[in-house]
Amino acid sequence: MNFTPAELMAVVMSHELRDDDFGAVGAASQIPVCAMRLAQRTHAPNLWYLYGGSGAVNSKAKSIVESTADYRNLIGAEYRAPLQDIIDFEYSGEFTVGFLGGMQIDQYGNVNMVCIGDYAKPVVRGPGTVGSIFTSSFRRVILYVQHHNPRLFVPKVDFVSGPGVARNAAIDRYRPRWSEGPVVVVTPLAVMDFQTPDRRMRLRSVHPGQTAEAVQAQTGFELAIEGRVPTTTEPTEQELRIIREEIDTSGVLRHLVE
Amino acid sequence: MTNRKSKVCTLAQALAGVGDGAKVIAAGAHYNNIPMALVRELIRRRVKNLEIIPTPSAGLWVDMLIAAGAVAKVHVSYIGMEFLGLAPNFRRAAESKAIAVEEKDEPTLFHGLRAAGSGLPFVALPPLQLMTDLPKVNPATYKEIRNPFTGEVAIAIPPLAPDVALIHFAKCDQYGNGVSIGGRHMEDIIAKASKRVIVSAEEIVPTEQITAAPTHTTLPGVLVDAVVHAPWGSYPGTCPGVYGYDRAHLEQYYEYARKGQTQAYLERYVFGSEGDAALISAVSQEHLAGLRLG
Repeated sequence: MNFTPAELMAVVMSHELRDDDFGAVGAASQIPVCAMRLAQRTHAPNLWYLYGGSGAVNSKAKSIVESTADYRNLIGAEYRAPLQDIIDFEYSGEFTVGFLGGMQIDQYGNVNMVCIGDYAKPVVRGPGTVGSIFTSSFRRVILYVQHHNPRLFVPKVDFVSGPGVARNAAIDRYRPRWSEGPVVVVTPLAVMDFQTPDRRMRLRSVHPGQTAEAVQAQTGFELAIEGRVPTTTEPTEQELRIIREEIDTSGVLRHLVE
Repeated sequence: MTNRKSKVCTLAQALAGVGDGAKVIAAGAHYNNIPMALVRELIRRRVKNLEIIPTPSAGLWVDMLIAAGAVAKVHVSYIGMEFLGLAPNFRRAAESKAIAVEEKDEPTLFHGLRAAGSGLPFVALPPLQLMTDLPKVNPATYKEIRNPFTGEVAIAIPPLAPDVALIHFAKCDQYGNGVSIGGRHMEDIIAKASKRVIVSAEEIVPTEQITAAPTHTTLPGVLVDAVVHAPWGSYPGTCPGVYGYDRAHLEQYYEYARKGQTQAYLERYVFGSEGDAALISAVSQEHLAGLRLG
């Protein structure tokens, strides 16, 4: 069965989710929204999820809308969280998993949403940090981006909006004890993690049709590569059926990533 | 005996007191419940040098005010067009230093407003921002302190008190009791933090509707100074329960903005009439009817 890169990303992310998770997404988060709902319908029926902006908890909207801030996400939801609740959940570790992206991500999982180039004289002024600091407070963070190129995956981010993996005692003393930080990175080309002795980003698997060399060529730093890199497990027919018939009925994920 | 006083007035009357240099906040998240009728009136009044305090997720209204030349400074958590991309006028103005940026994030804006609304001298937060570059570019906001009880490091941030809050509701009565059908986001915190609160509503309803379901009231009128009747007051954004956002119009704005032609957009849709008359007549009634819900 054919599938799109966005559908594959959603399935990969759903496999990262656990039955006891409480997941959070920000705005315009169609892929993680699909991942959480798929997980809830397959291996994680007790998973809870919250959409930032609209505050919808366990939304059952029949199709995925462009904005998780869209109040139509309240259809079938069990609660509408005001921003106060969301920020409390973010600080207290109540959210066990959060999904975040960025304009730049570096080899240690630091995230930048503020600027490309020098902050005082930016080449690109970004939208801002929003809730990126909580990469250090969610219990686990799944990083994901809809593009994979050397401008996005850089050796060192130009501005740290969201802290990456623990590797610097001087700042890690500020990290809440429950947080593992970023654990996985999902892109249209590959899956990466930080399972290396020096916490550098490692190529965990390449998507069908990709090679380790091709992914490395699209990455602005040297990925840790151990032996022959496996191919990402393809979505099952059952997973694709659930996505297309029960979650993403309007086919947003069929057109999202070129 | 004298009668209880109505707070209902015109757009122009409501905003008459908002002068150059005012600190302005508008409620809403992304395209939801943004008080666009009030923002458009601010643009028509040609106010200058506003200090913009957005909600943690804002875009369209800030971008439009910047293009109108009304802004001197923006507190930034997220200024963008969500699914459409970066906010073009904000991006250009920030890159060229035409506006000043106060770099913050979601919890900093939220807790700053909460401190102002609650009368707290400052707010102490876990030191998460110390793991980022935020304190380096905004040392005036992020102060490292010692927790007096445990000796651990914490961050102190100051209260954030806007001069004027602009808030849009689906319904409001003449005394300022506002109802958001989509539920409360942070309208209460915004109103408590701000010196003057101006509310617009799709519909001004009899107070009997409010008293029939007082737990549905999103914001109590005691915090509200002025009430304006503004149909399509969130357009081209969403007014939850009343109409959805107009994607075609948002794309049109984005194209004007991206090409540096927002002035032409403002001439076409904002200036040239009293209130939103020009806008409502420029967009066909049939098209507007298609956005209505239920």
